[in-house]
Amino acid sequence: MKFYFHRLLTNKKSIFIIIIMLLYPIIDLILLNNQWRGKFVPSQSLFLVGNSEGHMMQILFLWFLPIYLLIMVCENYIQDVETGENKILILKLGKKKYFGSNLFISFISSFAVFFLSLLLNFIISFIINKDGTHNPSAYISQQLLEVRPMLAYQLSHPVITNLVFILISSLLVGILALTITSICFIFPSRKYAYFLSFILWFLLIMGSSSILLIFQPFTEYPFKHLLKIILQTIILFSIIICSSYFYKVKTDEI
Amino acid sequence: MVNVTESGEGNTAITQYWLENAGGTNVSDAFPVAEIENTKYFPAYDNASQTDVYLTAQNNNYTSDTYGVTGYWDEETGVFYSH
Repeated sequence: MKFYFHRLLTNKKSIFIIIIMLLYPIIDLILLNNQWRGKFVPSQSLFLVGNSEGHMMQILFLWFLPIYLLIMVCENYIQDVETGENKILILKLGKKKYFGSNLFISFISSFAVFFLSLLLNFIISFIINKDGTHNPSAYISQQLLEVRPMLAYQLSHPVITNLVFILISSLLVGILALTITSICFIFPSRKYAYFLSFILWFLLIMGSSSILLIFQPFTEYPFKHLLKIILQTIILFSIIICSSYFYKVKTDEI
Repeated sequence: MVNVTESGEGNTAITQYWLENAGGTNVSDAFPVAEIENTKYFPAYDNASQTDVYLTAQNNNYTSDTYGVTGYWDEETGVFYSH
């Protein structure tokens, strides 16, 4: 396991991606404070709330998420296959342990980097926008809040809501990384792995049942709708992860 | 003043509206409006007065969803905000 962490932190490409992922939410906060004259209250200025004009950073970060995860950690297996290192490692560790630790490292590192990036954004927002006064959610009418109790509840507990959404979205990113790593197991070629990961992610973020609604706090969607999205995503991801893992462990690679 | 009569995202879905001047500079903050809400009035910055302004809108969600909205807006309402 130590070897995998060492690999993550000594790979220049991974370090570059980690820095980018840490920077996006900070750039979003800078843009937000320059686009509007009214300074937002801290709980409304976070990256996941998405109050910036055009949602540029959210699009660059979240729509293209599979690329960052692939370069950072998920394509490790493809690199191993290219260098033949996978055979050495499987002989040394055994198949179960080799594929298992590949999955584990992709989950834990993606979860940690995403969580750290958003937590840093949370802390910086609360420091920089401490004296912010503009709160767009205060303009949401009672009429709408009455039919959307979930939104009303979130707005009355803004800090907890933000923290819960940061945790849930980080977990989802971790599971997404597991799924992408599983795709790499089955298609150990960059061409197919990148293409398929992208298709899968774009199908999930499109339409009215977009998975990005799970990432965003203070949306007007009811709890039932969000629960449906989260369940169908987790079921789909689990099928891909389990079938790929068992296929790899059961079939003969060497 | 903004009143949305029809939103392609749904009748409780929020769209953010703000004013821009001819140069594309924002001359008001962005405010949320949904179809089921009545006419809403919002304040603008001082540089929005005595100039042509344009209403701009975006989905409050950063999903890839796009939709159309229909409604009324007026920038000279005579409603004053005491800030």
